[in-house]
Amino acid sequence: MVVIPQYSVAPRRLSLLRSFVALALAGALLVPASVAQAHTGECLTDLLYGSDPNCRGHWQDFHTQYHWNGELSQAHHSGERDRFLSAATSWQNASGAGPWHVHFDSTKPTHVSMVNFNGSVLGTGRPAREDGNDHIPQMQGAAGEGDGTTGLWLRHDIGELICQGTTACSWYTGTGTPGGAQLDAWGVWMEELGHAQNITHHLPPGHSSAHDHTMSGSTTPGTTDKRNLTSHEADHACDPYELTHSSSC
Amino acid sequence: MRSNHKARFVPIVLALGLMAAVFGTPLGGTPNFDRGESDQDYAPVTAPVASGEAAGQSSVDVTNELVRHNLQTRSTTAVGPHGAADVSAYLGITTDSLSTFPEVVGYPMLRWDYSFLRLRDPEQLVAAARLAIRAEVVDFGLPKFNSDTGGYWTPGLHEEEGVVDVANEVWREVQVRVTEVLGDALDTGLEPGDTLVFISRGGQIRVDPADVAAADGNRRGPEGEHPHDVTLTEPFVVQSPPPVDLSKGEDVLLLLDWNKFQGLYGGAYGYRFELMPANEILYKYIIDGDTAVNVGDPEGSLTMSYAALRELIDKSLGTAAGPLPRPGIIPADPHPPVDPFEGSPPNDVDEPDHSHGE
Repeated sequence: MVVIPQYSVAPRRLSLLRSFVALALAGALLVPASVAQAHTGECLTDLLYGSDPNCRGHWQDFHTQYHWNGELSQAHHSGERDRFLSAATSWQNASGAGPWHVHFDSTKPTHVSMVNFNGSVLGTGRPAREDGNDHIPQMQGAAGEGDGTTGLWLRHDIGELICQGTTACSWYTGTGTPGGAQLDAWGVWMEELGHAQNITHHLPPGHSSAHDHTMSGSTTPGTTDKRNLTSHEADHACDPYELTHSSSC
Repeated sequence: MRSNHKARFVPIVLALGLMAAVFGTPLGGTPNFDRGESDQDYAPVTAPVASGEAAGQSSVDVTNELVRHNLQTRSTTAVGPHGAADVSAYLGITTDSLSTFPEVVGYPMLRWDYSFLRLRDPEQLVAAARLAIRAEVVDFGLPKFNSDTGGYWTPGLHEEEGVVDVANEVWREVQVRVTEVLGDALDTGLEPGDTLVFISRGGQIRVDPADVAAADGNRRGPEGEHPHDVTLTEPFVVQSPPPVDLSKGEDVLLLLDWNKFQGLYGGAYGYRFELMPANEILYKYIIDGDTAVNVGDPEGSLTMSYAALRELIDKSLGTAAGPLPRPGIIPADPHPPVDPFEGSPPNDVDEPDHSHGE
């Protein structure tokens, strides 16, 4: 049980102080154990593959805060929002204490949107750039600590793609199994969240392309394969900047 | 070449129409935000064949012959609403394949990866295409963003219901020489020996954000948020890998389609029809003896005998293709566009069309 220390202050100020201390304690409980490493230099090149040790390991310092942007903020897209949270939770579970503390903050600039795309794209996740202090893609830094320019987008004009014969594609936003012309929003969000961690397209070693692996780069209608991270993919949640990682959660 | 068809160059013209808009002239020139008369470079499209509408078929009349351009002579810089795009680094390297990128030194790099629709039924794949050709890959254009100029822009932020942003994306032209026309659902009259240009995703562009504060000021949402990317204040590099690689000199079988190509045109969201892959990860086959190998499908469910693929093309090409191609820029409908200049959409755009089957 948390005991709020008593101070000799006016009642209203005491109330405010109690609130502040309670919030601070709650925050301490929520923030994952920091894995921060000392920032020892700039990281301006070869960000993608993380060969520079300065480019690693800082993202878990931050909570994840999302802002539903534009069309995705509308009531009729609640299913797409729910499945985004499912995907974020999946990544969080894969990384143990992990960085994926999901909550909403309408003033923060990490945007999750639905947009129209060209070609046969279903979605994209664009990692934030480093800013000289936090070198790897952070989903949301504290005030003044990062650009927070990560973009996570799902296709809005999905009905213009052809999934089965003459049947147009649609999103499946449930947690069961999509129909033959439906694409699993949960699974596609999984891949985009992987890209937001700078994980590129690849198949886990020894795995067949017959399965829609989370980071395979494509999604087949009617499948839920991408919801499930292999251990190989899950390790990226602990060591997101390395394609050949040596550590696990 | 041939004399009994006036419809010879529609694929080229449709593809080059974007270039016309991008550069103000088909081959380059001063970047500008005004399409000017570029729409005049678009070929007129005759009335569709009534019976072919459901199958996405039409008869296309082409009078423009803009194919004789050199893809490498275009300007290497283009100014967009939120920054300049510089691809001059490509001139210093040998780019024999789409996946060849200039080395990035000293710039932060943003890699744009996508998830694509995968089909496992070859008939679905063929049905979504309207042109099937054997061709030799000849050349590649320089990468650019999907804006009038090819310059940098970013989607805005909206809280209003019904406003849907268009993604900023990196594209480039692919020039091929047709060796065989296996199927042409739009009856373009394309023949072996013709040169064809289509648009492929991917490329690398150095972006120099320009006057970020001004652009940001024009594009703030109601809560004062920043648009995507615009918080970046120093030059950076965008790298977008091609979904499927192509190499110069390669002999390929391509499944293509004329489809919507969205972007920021005249400060407004709009689209035009361009020749592009029918499916970006699955549109390329390599013929290996009697086998047609789909290189984007290592699983192999789309790989089959060459004879069977040709038969499938004869039977199903274009039967599930998209809306009929139309000339010119079509404003995004029905939403008001992002307008970073807070101006009215240009008055030379086509009237909104409500019949394109969206």
